[in-house]
Amino acid sequence: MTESNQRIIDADDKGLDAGLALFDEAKVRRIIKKVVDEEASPRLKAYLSTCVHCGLCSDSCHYYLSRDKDPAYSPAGKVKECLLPLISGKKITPAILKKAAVVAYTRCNLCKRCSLYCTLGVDIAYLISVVRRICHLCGVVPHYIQDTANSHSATFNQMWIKDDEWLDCLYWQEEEAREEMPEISIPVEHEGADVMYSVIGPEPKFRAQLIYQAAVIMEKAGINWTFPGTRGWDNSDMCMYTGDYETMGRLKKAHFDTAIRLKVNRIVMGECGHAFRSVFDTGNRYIGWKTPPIPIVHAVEFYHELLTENKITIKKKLATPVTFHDPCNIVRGSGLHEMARTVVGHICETLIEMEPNREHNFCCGAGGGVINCGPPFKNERVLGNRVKAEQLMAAKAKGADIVITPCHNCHGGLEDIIQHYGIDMEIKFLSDIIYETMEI
Amino acid sequence: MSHTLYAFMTGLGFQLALAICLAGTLFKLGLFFKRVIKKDAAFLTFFSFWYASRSILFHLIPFASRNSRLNPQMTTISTIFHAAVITLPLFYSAHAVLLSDSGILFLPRFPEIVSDTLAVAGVAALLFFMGRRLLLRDVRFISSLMDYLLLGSLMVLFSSALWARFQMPGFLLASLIHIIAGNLLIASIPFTRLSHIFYMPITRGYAGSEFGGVRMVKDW
Ligand code: SF4
Ligand code: SF4
Ligand code: SF4
Repeated sequence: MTESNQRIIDADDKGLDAGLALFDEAKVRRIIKKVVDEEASPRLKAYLSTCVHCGLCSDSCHYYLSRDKDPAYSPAGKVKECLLPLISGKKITPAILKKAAVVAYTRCNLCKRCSLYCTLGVDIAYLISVVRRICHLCGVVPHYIQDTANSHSATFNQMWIKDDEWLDCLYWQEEEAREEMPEISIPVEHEGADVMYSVIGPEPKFRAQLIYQAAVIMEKAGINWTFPGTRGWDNSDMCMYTGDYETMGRLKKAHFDTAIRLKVNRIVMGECGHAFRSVFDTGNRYIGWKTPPIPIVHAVEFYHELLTENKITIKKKLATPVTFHDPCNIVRGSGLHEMARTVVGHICETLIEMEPNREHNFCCGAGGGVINCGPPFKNERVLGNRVKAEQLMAAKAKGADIVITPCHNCHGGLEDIIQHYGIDMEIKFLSDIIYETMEI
Repeated sequence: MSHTLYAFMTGLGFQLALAICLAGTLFKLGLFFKRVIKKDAAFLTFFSFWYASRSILFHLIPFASRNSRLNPQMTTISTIFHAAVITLPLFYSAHAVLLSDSGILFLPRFPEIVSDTLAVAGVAALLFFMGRRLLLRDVRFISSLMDYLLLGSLMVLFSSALWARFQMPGFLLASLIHIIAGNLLIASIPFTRLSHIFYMPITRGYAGSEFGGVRMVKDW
């Protein structure tokens, strides 16, 4: 038995097991046929036919590098491990389906770095997404991320937050902010505002201070903005990652519909990578929009606008040297790396770069829903990103004490890496530092 | 017997191989676009000739992409191999004579030294590719029987060519083998990994279109 097979058996997840308990090969085959022959783009077959098995994409993947070049973790190796057994025409067993699910959900961040490294342009992330779609339709999805998808489906947010809890949180944060700025308010359902500000579910649940900070920044910048008071406030989307595209479509439609109902000019999104991908690139397509029906502005672009147009003033730049982790969903997802550096330049004295950076960055290891697969796969995830730890250590050695990253998921991923590899670094959002350094 | 086979393989056989290659390619591309129209509106919506060409160029020009700089050996060897495999069928003098005799194409001819060097470099490159496939763990892991067969056939093609060219003992047989292997390879293009010849503009092109046009980021 190879090392990689041993890992599979170690993976004990009640979501996967519950789905596999209902395993019926004929049904699984029907699903695969439907996905491959009817749903998937013909690019799927073109990729499989064109990939010359050269292995030149191997070194582009942080999993492969971090796992001592175990070939099962290379991009093309992962396709061999999860997609090929499902479409080879040979017998499919529960073990084969489980392995496909584990590889597709927990060993690829869909970060698309490898697509920059394959001359032939094989989109490995797309191939892995097809496996996830098959697993979703088979009901074989890791428990934690499926729970999140269920929450999306039932509440239109990621964290089972009830409609009144959302409003309570906004009022609570408004009260907190008023201690500092008595005149401040957090506008809700303000029709005709310029900006609808949308956040991800974990903000009101775990990082409510971000809502307060955003309100202060908006107030000082004189932005005419509003939060939605209804469903549609959460821009996040784990369904895009489980393969539940129908729910993804419902979520994005609710989000856009809310902005249109509020008659705003644009949606500004908090510092999140995957939500941006869903709203800007994936979800909009699913519901038939080439580009989002309303302009989408990521927090990085928004802060760039506020700082370069002098809408907020920085008192004194942060003296502590920082490094910047590029979230793949906004660099390979929207080329925001230079804007992000301009923002950092406005608020910090010293930026120490990690190598490689910008569109060639390594993912944090949390993306693509991998962190949302929860504790059963945490170890796999942290071990799978030793290269990020090495990048952080190198930045630390050059003096960086803070790592900034404008993405919630990256925060989660980097936190675990920093803790596991014992790196003495603090992680911050851009808004944390803007709030700390701006004139209030 | 071998004469009739030779005549067949350079005449009708060659034309047949070419016809299979062209028909197969058209069939595969036709199928691809038929399904694109039905299933992948995004492909047609986002495909951009500008960004596709940009990406293809940066990935084809040696050392223009980051990965090609990170693997200088492979970049050099693979560039030489592709130069050989693309130009020799057309410009090697004996091929050019066959092509012009059959009235298909009239092309300039490489001086012997150029074609000989390219052919020897081609064999060396193929040995290097085979070495990678056998020795590098990640490449071996993803290699299938077809990959080895393809490399093997290319080796037969190149080495029989050199054998015949330098008229070593048994060169008539070698040239027959060369011609058969060549025809088989031409005919197999649409049905094997060689299909990357015509899929590459689509796959790399689409990647370039999405990265450049939608995500506003360079992808090389
Ligand atoms: S995906 Fe691209 S780089 Fe990777 S093995 Fe296939 S052809 Fe080579
Ligand atoms: S994690 Fe990123 S680099 Fe690795 S296979 Fe997935 S998409 Fe490619
Ligand atoms: S969590 Fe951050 S680094 Fe990781 S995939 Fe998402 S955006 Fe990329």
